Amino acid sequence: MKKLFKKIVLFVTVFAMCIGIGASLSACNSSDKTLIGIGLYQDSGPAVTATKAYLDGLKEELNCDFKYVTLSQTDEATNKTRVQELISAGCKGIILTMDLGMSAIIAECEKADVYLAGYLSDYETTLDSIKDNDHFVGTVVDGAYNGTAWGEHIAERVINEGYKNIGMIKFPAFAFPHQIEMDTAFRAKIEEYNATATEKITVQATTTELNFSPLDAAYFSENPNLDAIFAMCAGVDFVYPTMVAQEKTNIKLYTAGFTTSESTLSDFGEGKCIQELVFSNVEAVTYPVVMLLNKINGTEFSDNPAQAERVDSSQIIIENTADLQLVQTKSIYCTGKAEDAFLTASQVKALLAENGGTYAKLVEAVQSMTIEDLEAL
Amino acid sequence: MENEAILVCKNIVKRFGPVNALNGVDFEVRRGEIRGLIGENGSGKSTLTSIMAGMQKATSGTMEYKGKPWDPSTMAQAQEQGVCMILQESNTVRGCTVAENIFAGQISKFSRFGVINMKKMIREAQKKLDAFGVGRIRAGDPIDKYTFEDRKMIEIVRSVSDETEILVVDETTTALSFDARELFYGMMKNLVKQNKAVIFISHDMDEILKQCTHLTVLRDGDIIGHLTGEEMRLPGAPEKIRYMMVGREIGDAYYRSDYDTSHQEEVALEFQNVSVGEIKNLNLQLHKGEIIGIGGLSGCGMRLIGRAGFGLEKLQSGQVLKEGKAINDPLTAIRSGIGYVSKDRDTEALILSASIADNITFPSLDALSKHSFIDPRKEKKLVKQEVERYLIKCNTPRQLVSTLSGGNKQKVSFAKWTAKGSDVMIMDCPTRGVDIGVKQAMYAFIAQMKRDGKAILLISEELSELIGMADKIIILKDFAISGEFMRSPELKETDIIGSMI
Amino acid sequence: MEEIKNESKIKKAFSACKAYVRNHVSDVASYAGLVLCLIVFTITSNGRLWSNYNISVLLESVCVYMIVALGALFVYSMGYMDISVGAQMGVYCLLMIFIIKATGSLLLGFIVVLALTLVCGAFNGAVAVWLKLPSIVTSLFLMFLFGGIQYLMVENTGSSTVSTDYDFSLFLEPWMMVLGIVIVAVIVFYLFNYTKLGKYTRGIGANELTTSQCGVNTTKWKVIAYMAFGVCVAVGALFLLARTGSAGKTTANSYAMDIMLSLILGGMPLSGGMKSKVRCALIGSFTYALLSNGLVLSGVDMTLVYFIKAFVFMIVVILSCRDRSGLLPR
Repeated sequence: MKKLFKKIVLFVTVFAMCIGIGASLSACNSSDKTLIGIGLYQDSGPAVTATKAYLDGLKEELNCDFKYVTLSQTDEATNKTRVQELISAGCKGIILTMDLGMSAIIAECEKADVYLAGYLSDYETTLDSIKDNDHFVGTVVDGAYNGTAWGEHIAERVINEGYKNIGMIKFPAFAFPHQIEMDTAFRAKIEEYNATATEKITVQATTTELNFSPLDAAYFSENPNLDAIFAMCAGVDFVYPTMVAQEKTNIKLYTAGFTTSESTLSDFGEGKCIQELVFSNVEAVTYPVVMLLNKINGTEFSDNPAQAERVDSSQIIIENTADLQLVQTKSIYCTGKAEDAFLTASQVKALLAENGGTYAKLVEAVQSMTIEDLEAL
Repeated sequence: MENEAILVCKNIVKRFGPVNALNGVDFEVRRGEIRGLIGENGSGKSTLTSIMAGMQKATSGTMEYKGKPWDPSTMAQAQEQGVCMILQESNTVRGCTVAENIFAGQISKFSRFGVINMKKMIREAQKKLDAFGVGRIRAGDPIDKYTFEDRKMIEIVRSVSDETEILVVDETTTALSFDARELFYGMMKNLVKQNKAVIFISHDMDEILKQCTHLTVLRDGDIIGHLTGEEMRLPGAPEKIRYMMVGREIGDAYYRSDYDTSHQEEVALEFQNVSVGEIKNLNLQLHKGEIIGIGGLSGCGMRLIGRAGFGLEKLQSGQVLKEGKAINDPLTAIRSGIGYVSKDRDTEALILSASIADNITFPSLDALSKHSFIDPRKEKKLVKQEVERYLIKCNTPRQLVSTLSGGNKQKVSFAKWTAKGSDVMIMDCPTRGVDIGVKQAMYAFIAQMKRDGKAILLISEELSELIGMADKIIILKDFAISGEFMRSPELKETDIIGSMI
Repeated sequence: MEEIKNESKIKKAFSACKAYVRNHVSDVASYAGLVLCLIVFTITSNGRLWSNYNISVLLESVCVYMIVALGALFVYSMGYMDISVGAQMGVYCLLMIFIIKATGSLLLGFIVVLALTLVCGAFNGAVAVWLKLPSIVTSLFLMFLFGGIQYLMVENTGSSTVSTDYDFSLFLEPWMMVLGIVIVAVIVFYLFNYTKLGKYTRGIGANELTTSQCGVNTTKWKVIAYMAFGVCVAVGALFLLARTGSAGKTTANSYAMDIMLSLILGGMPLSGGMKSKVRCALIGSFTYALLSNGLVLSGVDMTLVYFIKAFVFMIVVILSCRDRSGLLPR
């Protein structure tokens, strides 16, 4: 019994000591910069590097600082914890790339009087419930919310380039509901063509769903004679490696997603395997950053929307080697240099409400970042 | 005239952390002698020989071998130079042939252009086996075909070669059968005839006295004395050696001194037509206050009887009864008052990583627990009582059992059952690997148990122990009872051996 | 003269200290890990670690880990593991949400979950013995089974997460969380140190053969140990659900590993046995939660977080797993 008592005493003393040290230190609190927390769904990769590079370039001009955490793709509670930790660290605004555990997170933000914004996420399941919340300022989507346009665009390319047997691959609907529209739009366009064409195009009857794992090798025996594949998912990562392994790179691959891997990019272009690559601009983060800073600074656009909005962002669509060359040399996504960004720090600063910016200008800024814009830059 | 000394050790010190295993030992081995080394566990016998054979390094001190400084860095190196050691544990390589085992490490001898001449290797191996008189072991066979004893012999054949000058035998013979031992002794004598030397370590006093030409006694890391062959044959020598080993008078009361074979009428444990494993229809009645000894060669099935008595084996027919209650599993056995001291002390009888206290109370927890609560004070009291009863040497009962010496470990496995208050004790080789001092104490406890009316089933490989302790000795041979002997002062080992082999 | 006496006294005390540390490396390592984390993070976070808000945040994340880890103690002390617990918790959260939605009663949901955890515990414990499989295989089976059930449950609702509006704020009150931890910890402490359950599970971990030869029905106690774990999992799932009020296809799936890591950080040997202590669960889960909290607060780069975690983990494991016996041969 004595021993037990001793143990408890030891435990409590150690604890109390630490609390004492902590309390005496917690008094001091430095830096007058506005701190914004950013929760990303991955912890590395070109998108993360580029996002950080872009935001680093903004820090000085906007007098703010950024703190990064990695979110969980599986656990709502973990995400809530991450947000709480950001709040603990002194963040006044938080940008999240994931829609998992949102109702609890927004409640936490309200409690701590911290504002929340979305980045490269459509908040499909929760936007309706939080768009009226005073602490949610809106989100910018990873490309277009509606997938119809891109689906039609690929269909046109396939028709023009004369491929007749098309494989279809996408991610499951629960994660990417808008790939359904993409799928439908593509099929509709092909059917329209088939109605008049002499040589009809065959499309894989049911689209193969990848549950975030690479394409199965058996795909090619189940679907023989393909001459092109439309991979709505991140095909560079999930489809192309299987094609290489199965020596099926004679099939053309139209896909979303991008890579900086030289060996993969060398198989891109006319006469090669990969025909189309797409990525979203990291500069789209301008939207949540500006919206948060407005709120934190207590200002508001004259044309501010009544509810928090879901805004599309423009994507870089790469169709040929010339485009690729351009992207590789001029886009921040590839170079990782802040000076290659679409927007300079002072341009972003000018978008703030206190500097005379408007909501319309902000939305226009994140929607005019296409390959043509990059060329013009 | 004294022969030339082959190996001389001077002032050898070996420390393991704060413990001194050897405090400056001077030791020499001369040609043509079988030098016995005897001493209690932890006296430093194995440490000393393993330093000579290159298994470990001395902390300080020097050695000389054939007149040159000797400091082997590995056992293989020592063996090449002619100092080789046979260990207690078996270390043959499974899944290989006998020949491959014998020539392990020297395979290159038989290979030309990377192809191994298996036929030649097998032929050579067979020659060696024949030379040792174990020609029945075929060199081409897979080693797994052979028993533990045969594998031990193969190991010996492997270790000893023409170059061997000194052979160290570390308690190897305990693993061997009667026949194999004889072969082995012959081999030792052969070496000595060739003017080589043998260092022989054993716990078995009789064996040492019979086989050795010289004897060195160690105690607590010091050499206590040397005996010549003549001194060893003097009457009273065993007592003198025991005295040297333990450092105090052991006295005559080593075994039980009385020859009172009476016991109560009541049957404590009964085997009724028990068939288990290869044992068929065994009948046995153990009465209260009786010690029944079961003996035989290893592998004769005597262990099975003990395990069956404790409910560890599935019976094919018949039943084991404790006061009319059938024993089918250890739980029933324990609840009806049976205790079992397993031969595999470290793996079956004790939890080495647990404290003395935990080990002692473990079987009693069921009884100690009241409304799920186990009172630490009650536990403590029980442990204290047992530690005092057996005089277990420890700093605190919270000390881990793994830190105890063999004898004290065995005391703990006794204490488990006396703590539980078991009135039938099944003991499987209870004094195995236990040094003399503790052995004597154990025998006293067993005798006390008999006086207290407890029933004891004593399974042992040592005949002298059975003759010294049991009221009735049952000898097993090939899983059947081959002889029964009652306790008497006239009973000799030679009377019994006949029914064993 | 006096001085020399004092000096020798100090020396003696010092060597006694050294001996204590040497004999209790794993205990000291787990405490040292925690204290070191506390001190370092206090400094690097400018004291933010101790803000009222952060303490409540820490409490929230520690709470679930601690309760589940306390239960896991019984299983891990036998040298077994349960990797199905993550998937189980996911299903339990979903189940509670569905029951609350259907009946409005949290209590009913909790009771159903509790019953289910007991069944799973019995399965994990008993089937492993009957089929002579290592327990990791049965828990692997349960992991896939529950993973599938979780997936289907959410799939049928047509969205990626399910949530309830039930007011869980009671379970988010700091005093309630502390009370939860204390009650579970006290019960586990009692069971682990003063009843047959704890002694037998440690015995099974240390030497199953000896334990069974001491008359312990190992099958029965394995099942009971898994069931005790199950009860803690149910309570943990309740607190987990309370945190977000929602659950999805992969909710809580990382918990199986998190719990294992927590226990190792607390100095628990994976082989179980006598060195298993209640302290392992308490300190381990606290250190584990503190690590990620402190690193974020200190503004450590995300990519470095893994390395730092790995580093701390390695040090604790190396120190606590160092073999302290076996100095003397034979």
